[in-house]
Amino acid sequence: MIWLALTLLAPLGAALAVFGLRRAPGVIALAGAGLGLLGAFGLFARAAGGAEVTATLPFLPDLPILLVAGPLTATLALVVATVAAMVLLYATGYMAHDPEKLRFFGTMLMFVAAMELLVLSGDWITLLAAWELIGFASYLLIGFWYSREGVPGAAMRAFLYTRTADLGLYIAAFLLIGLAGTSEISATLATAGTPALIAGLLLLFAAMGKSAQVPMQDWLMRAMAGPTPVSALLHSATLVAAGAILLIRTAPMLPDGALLAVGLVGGVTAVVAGLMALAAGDLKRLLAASTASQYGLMLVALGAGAPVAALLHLIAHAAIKSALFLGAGVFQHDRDSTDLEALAGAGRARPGIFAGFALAALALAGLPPMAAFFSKDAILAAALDSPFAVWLLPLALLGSVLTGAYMARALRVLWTGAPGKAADPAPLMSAGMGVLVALAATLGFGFKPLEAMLSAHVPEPAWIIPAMGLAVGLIGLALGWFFQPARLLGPLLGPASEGFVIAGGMQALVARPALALAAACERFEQRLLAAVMAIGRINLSIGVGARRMDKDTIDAAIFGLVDRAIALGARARRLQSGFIHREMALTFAGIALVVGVLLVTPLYL
Amino acid sequence: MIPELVIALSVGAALFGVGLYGALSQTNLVMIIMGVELVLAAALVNMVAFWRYLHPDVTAAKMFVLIVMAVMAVEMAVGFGIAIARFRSRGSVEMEEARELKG
Amino acid sequence: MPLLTIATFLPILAGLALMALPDRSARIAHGVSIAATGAVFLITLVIWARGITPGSFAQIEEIAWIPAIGAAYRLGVDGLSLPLVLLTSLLFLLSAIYSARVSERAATYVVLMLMLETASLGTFMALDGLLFYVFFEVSLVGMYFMIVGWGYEDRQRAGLMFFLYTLLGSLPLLLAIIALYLGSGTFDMRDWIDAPPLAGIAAMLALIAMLFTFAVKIPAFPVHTWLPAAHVQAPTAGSVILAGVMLKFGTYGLVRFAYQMTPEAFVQAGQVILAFGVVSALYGAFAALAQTDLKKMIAYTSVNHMGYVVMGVAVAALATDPRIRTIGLDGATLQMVSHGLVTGALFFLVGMLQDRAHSRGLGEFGGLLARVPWLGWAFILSAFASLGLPGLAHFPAEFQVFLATLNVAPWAIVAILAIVVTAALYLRAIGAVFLGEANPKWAEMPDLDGREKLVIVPLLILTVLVGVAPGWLIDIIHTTMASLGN
Repeated sequence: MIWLALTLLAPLGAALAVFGLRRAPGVIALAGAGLGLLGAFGLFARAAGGAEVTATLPFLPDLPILLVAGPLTATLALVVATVAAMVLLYATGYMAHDPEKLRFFGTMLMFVAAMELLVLSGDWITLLAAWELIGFASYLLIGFWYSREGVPGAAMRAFLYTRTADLGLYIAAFLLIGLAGTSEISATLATAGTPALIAGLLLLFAAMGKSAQVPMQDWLMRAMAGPTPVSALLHSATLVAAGAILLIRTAPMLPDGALLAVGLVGGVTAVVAGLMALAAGDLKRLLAASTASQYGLMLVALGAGAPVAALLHLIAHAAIKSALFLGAGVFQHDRDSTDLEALAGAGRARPGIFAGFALAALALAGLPPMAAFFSKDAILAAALDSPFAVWLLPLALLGSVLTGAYMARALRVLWTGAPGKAADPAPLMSAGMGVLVALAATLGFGFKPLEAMLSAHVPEPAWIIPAMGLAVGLIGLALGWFFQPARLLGPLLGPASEGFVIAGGMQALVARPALALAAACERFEQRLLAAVMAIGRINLSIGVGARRMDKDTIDAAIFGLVDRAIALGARARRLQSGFIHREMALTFAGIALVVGVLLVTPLYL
Repeated sequence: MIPELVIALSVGAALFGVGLYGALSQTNLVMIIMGVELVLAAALVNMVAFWRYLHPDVTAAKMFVLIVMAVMAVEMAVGFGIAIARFRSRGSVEMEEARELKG
Repeated sequence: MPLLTIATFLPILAGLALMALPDRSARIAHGVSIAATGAVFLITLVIWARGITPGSFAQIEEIAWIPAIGAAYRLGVDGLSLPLVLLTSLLFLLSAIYSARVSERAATYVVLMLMLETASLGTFMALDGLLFYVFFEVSLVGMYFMIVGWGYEDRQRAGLMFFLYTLLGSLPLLLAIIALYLGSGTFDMRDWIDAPPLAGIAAMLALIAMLFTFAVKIPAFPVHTWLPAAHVQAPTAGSVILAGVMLKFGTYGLVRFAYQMTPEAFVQAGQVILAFGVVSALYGAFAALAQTDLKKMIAYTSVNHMGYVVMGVAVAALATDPRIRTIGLDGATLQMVSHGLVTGALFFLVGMLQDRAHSRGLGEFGGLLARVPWLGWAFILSAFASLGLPGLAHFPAEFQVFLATLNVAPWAIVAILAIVVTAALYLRAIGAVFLGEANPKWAEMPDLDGREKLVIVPLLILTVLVGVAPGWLIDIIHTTMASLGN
């Protein structure tokens, strides 16, 4: 339990300490990462011993937060903690002169805590929550230098791409929870049939976003606008691993249809991203494309039904790629750019760093006895043995060739050229990178015990597999070293350097229709408002009509009556002439009239 | 119809007509009063004629005639008093000029 | 101790006392308002501590008025109204603190706000049909004068439209209340809930009438157009109260009246209501995306969030599994509270920005994060809460609503697209206002001062608290919703 708390709370506590105390961020960060690493070691040791550490926290009624540190999750937790510790060590050197390093270290620590939460989650809500939180941390970290041009856009793009893909995870989680009646992940893995297929495809969609698989690879390229430690930690070893981790954990549930889809997506990405890496003009973009490609290979392994192979490659890749990024960061510090042209010969000025870089590069290409050799063999073996071998194996092999090619290219560029001025020593950066390089070289030997711990049996491959792996690796390296990418790619150079944007890419396919829909809604709003105003105006005109009826009809009638009565009175007034004669005449006329009436009435009544 | 009565009533009617015509057509107040006197006189003639030829034994009629004559006299006095008052204030008793009561 | 009555009427009594004072300067006025709203907040905390009972109303305070028709002055709370009451008293207190900046005709402003608080608390706590309607309508008057007296450029038109629109919208509710009375012979809401008096066509007609009123108030598509105009033109505290409290009248009424008093008709109409909720959610999000005025943008996201509430209630009605039903209702109610906290915070922040810049347009700003970090980070946190980031207020509620939706009416899950749209619009706003190159026009912009921090920090803390550990709030809600589910 204490290990669990340490793994999760040490980075989180360190983040709060950094933001609260606002001093010594590097030291606090290292302390937090170190304690977290200690905790992860503890969990790993317990899991290796066979014990599974779990914890339950209340959240929603019937839907608690579950944490579980079994063999798989404890291993991943250790991977995350190790890479995080080394990258943070490196970052204390890299970010030493940045005025905003408080925010940097605090956010990085928050990310580490969230990532650990993700790998250790035992229920869907926690996994989903952590999934989104690492996306949030990624947004903050990619957008770290937010006043630079293009950076806010890159951060927004990354978040939106992954958020769209996260819909898959949301819906899959709802589906699985609803069917299983509980949010516990291991319980929901018993789902089968069509729901499992649908859930599997949805999870694949989510993984495609997070792991930058085709067609959602663009955000990763742009994410390189962030500081290099961010690229090393998030965008090579941890955040992008989340997609693969998700599929590895749910592998028992995925039916054949889903597996085929996974494998194809992975294979296509391995090739497409590999081509993009070869055509890249910027070292970090090269490494980013390479990351997408490697995760494609992991998905191929998953599609072939060998999640353990994917896991092994994930671990190897984590160490290798982060080491490569850290090396790129050192070169970036020297030359103030990551453009391949600007970096020409940078390796010569720092032989030690370059050696580490080269070692990691060769490891990635699959040379023995380094880690990726074993993992790549496992992938190729699985691809060969799988029912979809006809698709998966060629894609995997091509991906491996391209791996060697672009790594060799990078090495060649770094080595050929003028060394430039002497470089300042960078002890912290070298230390961080060095450990990861060492791991990259030696992890292979730990794979067998690891497989035992996971109770997974990866059969020894026939000799053809290592031979194939070695061959494609060497061929790739040779191609990359001796030939220019333009020659290798031929007509594909243009699309590759553009990122294989089809039909305008996400911008045209998603963003512009969404904005058009938004504008249409706004126009509809205006019309609704106009309708409401029109109703108001109709009522006003009814009111005016009522007033007019009052004035013209009713009042007119009454006042007309009054006027006529007055006119009649005026006429009667004329009798009052004041003349005695007239008065008397009228008097006698009246008398005569009365007499006449009096005389006549007895005759008729 | 007693013929004498008819003659007396005709005389009375003639007097009435003359008096009425005079009251209505004359412009001088004195002439108007004369006309009114003649109308009253005509009423008296009618009354005497009816008494003499229809009810000769009713003595109250003689009293009535005398009372009417007295009233005539009083009324004439008042009328002339008004005429003198008007003459004194306006210098004339022409009724055409008396429009004060016009409404 | 009749705490409910005291809490309800203390504000207006304080307002009247203010009117009686000889010296009604701004300082005295705002002092009275802060004291009164603060006292009410504390009283509501005590009401919370006193507790509620599952399955019925608690802390009933009753004075008979017309026993022959069952009309009485009757207040009470349960798991639906108590969180809203707490939200109301908190938001009014914070609005009072924020409004201390209002200097012209401050006393009148304060009295209007206190009158609004009385009306709001009364609406949520009333257990008599007539009493509910009175409080419901009185709030319109207060808000109208607030908008017209202290609003922005186009306030006359907006205030008038707001008042007439919502007043007209409220008339069907009166008919429904009368129908309920005719069906049961009393105005006691508890009787209407325990034994729904109408059936068949009468119930359906009453439901339609009530739905019309509450749809205007919530606001749901297509009778929502009064909201953007009213929000944009209202003064900041007015917007906060309008969004944070008065919109909840509609959703409260949806559950209390429509769902609880005409249950069978509600189930029959469930799919239609769900459709309106889905359309509101999506339409609100897309319309918000098209806005360039910050306040209007946030106003449209209110339509979106309230759409989720409608969805939650509708799927709860359609659900056959009582667990799913409770999840839907829990989520809907939690969403009401979360929206009040988060959107209240957003309106406060936009108001603070507008006070500094006298502008709300997205294109006017740029790079402000370095210049006004408190304002900027508070906005970023609230914006991410509004778009549903886990760990912050809206996530637990939206998760529950969507979970229930997918398991009851799978077609309606299309509304989840809205969370991507809201993410896009908020990120665009953040990028345009706070990130990027610093706009030299605002080089002198001051950051939040002490009072503004005092207003915004509690909301941010609650946003995180509700997001990470919603248990304390959900327990209150669940007490009642669990029994509603059966």
